Amino acid sequence: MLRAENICCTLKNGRKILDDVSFQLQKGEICGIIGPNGAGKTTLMKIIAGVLKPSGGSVKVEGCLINQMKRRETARKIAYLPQTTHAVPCSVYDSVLIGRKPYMTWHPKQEDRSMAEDVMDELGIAHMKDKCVTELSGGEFQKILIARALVQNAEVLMLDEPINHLDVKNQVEIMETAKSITERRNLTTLIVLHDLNLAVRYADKILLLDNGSTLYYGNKCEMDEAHLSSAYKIPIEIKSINKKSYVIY
Amino acid sequence: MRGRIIFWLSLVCLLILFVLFGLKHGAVQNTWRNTLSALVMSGEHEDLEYFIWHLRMPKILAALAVGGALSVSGVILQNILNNPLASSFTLGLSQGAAFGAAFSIIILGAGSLMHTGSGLVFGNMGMIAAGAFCGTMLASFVILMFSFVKGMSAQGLILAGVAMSAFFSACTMLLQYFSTDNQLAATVFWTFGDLSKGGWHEALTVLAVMLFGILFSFRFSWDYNAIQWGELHAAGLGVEVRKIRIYSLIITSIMAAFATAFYGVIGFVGLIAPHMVRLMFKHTGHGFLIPASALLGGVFLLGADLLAQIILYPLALPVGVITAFAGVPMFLFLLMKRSIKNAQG
Repeated sequence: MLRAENICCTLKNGRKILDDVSFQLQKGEICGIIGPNGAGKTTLMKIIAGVLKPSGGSVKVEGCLINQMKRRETARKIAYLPQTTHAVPCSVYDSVLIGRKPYMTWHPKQEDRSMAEDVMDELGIAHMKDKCVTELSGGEFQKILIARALVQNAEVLMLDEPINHLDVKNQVEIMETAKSITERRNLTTLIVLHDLNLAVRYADKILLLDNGSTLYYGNKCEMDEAHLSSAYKIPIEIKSINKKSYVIY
Repeated sequence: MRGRIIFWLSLVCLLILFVLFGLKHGAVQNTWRNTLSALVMSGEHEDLEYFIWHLRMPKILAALAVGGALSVSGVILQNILNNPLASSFTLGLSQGAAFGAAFSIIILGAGSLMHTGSGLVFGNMGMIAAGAFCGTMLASFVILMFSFVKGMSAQGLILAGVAMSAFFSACTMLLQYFSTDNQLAATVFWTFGDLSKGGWHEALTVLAVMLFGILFSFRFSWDYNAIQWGELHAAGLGVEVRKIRIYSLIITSIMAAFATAFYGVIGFVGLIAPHMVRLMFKHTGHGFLIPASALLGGVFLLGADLLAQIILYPLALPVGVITAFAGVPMFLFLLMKRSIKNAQG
């Protein structure tokens, strides 16, 4: 279980990036983090992943305080995939295997290699094992990064804008992958999204941020159009068609 | 896998070939028979035995150690600073060494260049080496201090290196302006990278430092692989990026300091060897890149030194001239490749 309490982040000049953000997620749940540009989504992700220290508040995974853990220990509990702009020229296998870094002393052991191979099988990417990452399509590349995060064997999975620059088919495929692994592995998953329809479709809970504050946190079904319109400053409606919710703007 | 085996075998063959030529070739030419007989110390050619065991052997070892040390420091710096053009030369460490040596010669009177029967020697080589070592460490200390500045990016560190490089060059010029002709000649001669400056002690010292550097960087090779993906990715994988960057800067500085202090400024080896390996093996991790660059760097410097001796025989050129001639095109090629890549987005 993931619990974030009263997270604050203030710059030296006094500007507040995050102001008293709190939420709690259970195992097997997906939380979609949405909000306009500059709302503080990525900063919140960095703080939860332990790569950025908050000005105040705490993050706990299974009752353990992230702030007091070493980076290595945090990486065993939280698999964090930041926004990725470039691919490193290395084989698919190596870029998945690197997910075992938090468990390595010098070099990967047989156990690490087997785990990487198992995850590649699970995500159906084993056939491109020897390909160079730079030769992959955007969707394939994102799958490789998700495989790397899974190899970390963490309880929390965090994806920061994983479907940016992908076509509709690949967007759906990546979101389906995220949903199925969350269910299968009983993970707690946080995904930063700009596509409100995908957020409503795949997330169980929604965290709507605006100017560093929580505008809404709760079940996706209870989210009000007014919250969205207020955050994005444009009229937004939520329609239900065939028992499915659609965000129209 | 097959490519790697061929790579290692070719390098070992080249190494043996260069070592044999390095033993045979020098100011005094000999037959293969005499060279081998002197090598096993048969006692038939005492003069030649002296040349081989006291001059040529340490020089060969120095080429391998200096080439390896500069290449490994190049690999690490390129990784932690996320810049393919980073090396101890481009970061201003070599210019720091040149300033240190000039300071020893001109201010501390470490001795001017003297003509002896066997060639040109410095009055007090130990003090000059100590000065060069301090100069390198001073330059790396400043770079290290910059790395502590919160929010200082890897690109910022490179620019700090460029600034340090200009600063030390200006300081050296200032010292040279007020020096005597003899001191000026000694300072300029020192900056010529030359492997015949040291003996067994110097070669073995650089070798020991290089081996330690390889062991250190090999231990953190997967951390370097993670850092390649960017700081955030590496941090998400549990890598203490800041710590690794600081430790690595210290280790690379020590490697470059020892190599430069004893043998002068030998530029571009730290660029050539790592990029040659990267060009040959497009997607390779640091577990292979580090030892491969070390050996390739050593063999390259040994070959460059042989070329420096042969090209204008009987005149032997400083090896730094050859490495610069080979390195500048490589530097420009990398610069162009990077610009094209950036332009393509």
